[in-house]
Amino acid sequence: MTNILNLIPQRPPIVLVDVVVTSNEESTTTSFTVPEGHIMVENGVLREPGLLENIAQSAAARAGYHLSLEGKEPQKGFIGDISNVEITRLPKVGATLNTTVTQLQQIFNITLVKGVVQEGGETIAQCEMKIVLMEEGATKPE
Amino acid sequence: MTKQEVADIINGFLVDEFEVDAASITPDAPLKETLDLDSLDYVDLVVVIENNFGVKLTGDDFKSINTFDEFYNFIIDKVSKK
Repeated sequence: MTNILNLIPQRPPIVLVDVVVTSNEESTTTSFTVPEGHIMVENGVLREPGLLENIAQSAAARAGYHLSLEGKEPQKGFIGDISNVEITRLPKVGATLNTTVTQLQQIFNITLVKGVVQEGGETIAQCEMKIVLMEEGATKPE
Repeated sequence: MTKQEVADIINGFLVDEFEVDAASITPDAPLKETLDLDSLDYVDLVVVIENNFGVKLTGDDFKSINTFDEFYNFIIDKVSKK
C-alpha cells in the first residue's frame, strides 16, 4: 500500500486522508478515520473546516496518485473556490469517512471537483471545489 | 442552431451570470479583455458552455479565440462536430 504522504503535499498535523481506496479516470475514493486529538477536532467531532480539508486532500491524493503512476512527485496546490457546500452532520472521533472526489472539469491548471463525504454509507458533507495546482517552481498562480 | 441563436445564448449568460456589460458585447470586441475573467472564472464559463451546448472547451481553445464573433463560430463548429 502506498504511503499517503507520498501522494499529497500536506504534512502532519493537518493530514486528513489515510489511504486511497480506489481511483479511476473520473473519480477517486479515500478513507480517513478521525483520530482523537487532531488539530481540527473539537468537542469530540471533526469540525466543518476539517471536512472541507478532507475533500481537498482527497483531490490532492487523486492528483498525486495519477502523477505517481507517471513516476512524478505530488504537486502543491490550493483551494481556489468552494461552492454548493452542504454539511448535514459532523463525524465523531473514531468515525471512518469515505470521501469520493469526481472530476467535473479541467482547464488550465485548475480542476473542478465534486466531493462527497460519507460515513457508513450516509452522505454527511458535499461541495464543489476548484483546486489550483501550482506549476513546478511557481510561487503563486497566474 | 443559427449563429444568432448561439450568440443570444452566450450573450445571455455572460450578462446574467458573469455580469458582463451587454453594451460591451459586439462581434468585433476582444473576448478576453471584455470578459475580464480570472482563471477560476474560466472554469465556470466552461461549465456553462457544456451545460448549454453539450461541448467541452479546453484552455488551448481559448488561446485561438480573439473576438466574440470567433467565439460564436468556434462554438457552432464544436456543436456541429458532436
